[in-house]
Amino acid sequence: MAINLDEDNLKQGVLGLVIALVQIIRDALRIQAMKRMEGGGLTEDEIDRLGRTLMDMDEVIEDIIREQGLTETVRSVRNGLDGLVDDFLDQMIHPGRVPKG
Amino acid sequence: MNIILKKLVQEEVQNLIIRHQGAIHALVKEMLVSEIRRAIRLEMPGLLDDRPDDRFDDRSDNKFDNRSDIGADAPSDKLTPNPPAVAGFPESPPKPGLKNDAPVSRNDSMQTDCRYLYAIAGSEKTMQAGSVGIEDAPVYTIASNGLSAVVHACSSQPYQSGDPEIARGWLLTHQHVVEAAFEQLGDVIPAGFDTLINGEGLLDPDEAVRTWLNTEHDALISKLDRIRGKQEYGVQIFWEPKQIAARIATENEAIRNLNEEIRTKPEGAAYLYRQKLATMLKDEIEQEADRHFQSFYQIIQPAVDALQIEKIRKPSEAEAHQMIMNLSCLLLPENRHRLGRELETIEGMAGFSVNFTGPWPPYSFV
Repeated sequence: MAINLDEDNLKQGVLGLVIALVQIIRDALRIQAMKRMEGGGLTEDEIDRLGRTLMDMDEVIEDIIREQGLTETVRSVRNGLDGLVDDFLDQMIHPGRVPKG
Repeated sequence: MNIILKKLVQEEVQNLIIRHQGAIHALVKEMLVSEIRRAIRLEMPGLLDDRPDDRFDDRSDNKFDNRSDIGADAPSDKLTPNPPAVAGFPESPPKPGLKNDAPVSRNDSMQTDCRYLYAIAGSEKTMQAGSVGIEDAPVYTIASNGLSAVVHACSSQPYQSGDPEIARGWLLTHQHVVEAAFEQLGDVIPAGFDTLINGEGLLDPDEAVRTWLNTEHDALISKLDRIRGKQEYGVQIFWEPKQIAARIATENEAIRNLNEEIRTKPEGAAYLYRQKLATMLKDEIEQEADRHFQSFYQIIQPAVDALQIEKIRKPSEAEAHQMIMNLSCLLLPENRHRLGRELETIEGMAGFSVNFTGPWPPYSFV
């Protein structure tokens, strides 16, 4: 995944990358929270607090994206990462098709 | 934007990552399971078939919603395939070494000691084609020993272009010639794009083609036997995930209950439960897709002479109709009605639609 760096898009690019990563971490945290919840180790009150924290996090991320005009950048970073994962899976599934060298 | 809040979030995230590294690792793996399952389903063709990937995927876009031209045939045969006239062509088979930026002009080369091969027919019939070949080359047939090759004369330089539009045009022409051969000559083995037979040093390069036909005679005949009298049809089955999801949401008890429960929860908890609901729904949809894939396969397989699972274009979330199955079917013309009937059953299912195209030359079965 090539990252184009020039004066104009440097800030956007780096911010977009950071936000995309934060989103991915957020997704992982959300799943973790769900696990906890399903595991039954949390009280209803704790579940609610956890949910609220994640909601706040969503809000903060959305705010940053909106304020900095990062919608496109974040999307393209995430698509790039998705593509990376796709390629990786493809190589695991078809080991014979990995180009040599 | 509150800088302190931003910083806090960042620190919190960092701490969480460090504290839960192991768990995150396990979770990421777990999250991938349904994706991998889907990938395997989408990639199944690749596993079942080890030929080079230069076949014609997705070669027609005619959705057969248009039933206006139906009825000229037998009335029971509602699922008449569209004529393959408007064939969307496959994304080109990637050619190695496509470095040249400018299209190679081939007209300045007067050497014609190679033969570009379009197809091999199982008879010595001659094809009336004219200058319909790539770059308007005259197409003709070379017969030998009960077989004939559909060719045009060319130089030994392969057809390569850095311009995808030009390459696409060549591929389309190639396909049209193969189709013309299929219509005029009957059983044909389509050749891959850019198949050249080298006749260098021969007085008559056609002789190289005859020699090749003779050497490969038995192999070609056995390939022709497999497809004799048969035609290829494309079958694509689509579904509407939204409609399926709505049905699951009402039919699946666990999901229905959870949905009810969410109404009574405070905001934060409701947020988490909604996420859980979405995950459950996604898993169910995946399983549903697997089940349908299996059951459609069971229905279609007995109705055709040969069947091949093709790749599915990766569906985008936005599309209302998503392809869940892409098949190439080889069948005798008299079996078409049976396949049509089976497909009609699938078409009649709520949320499902079928795209039936052909007849095509047996691209996928040679």
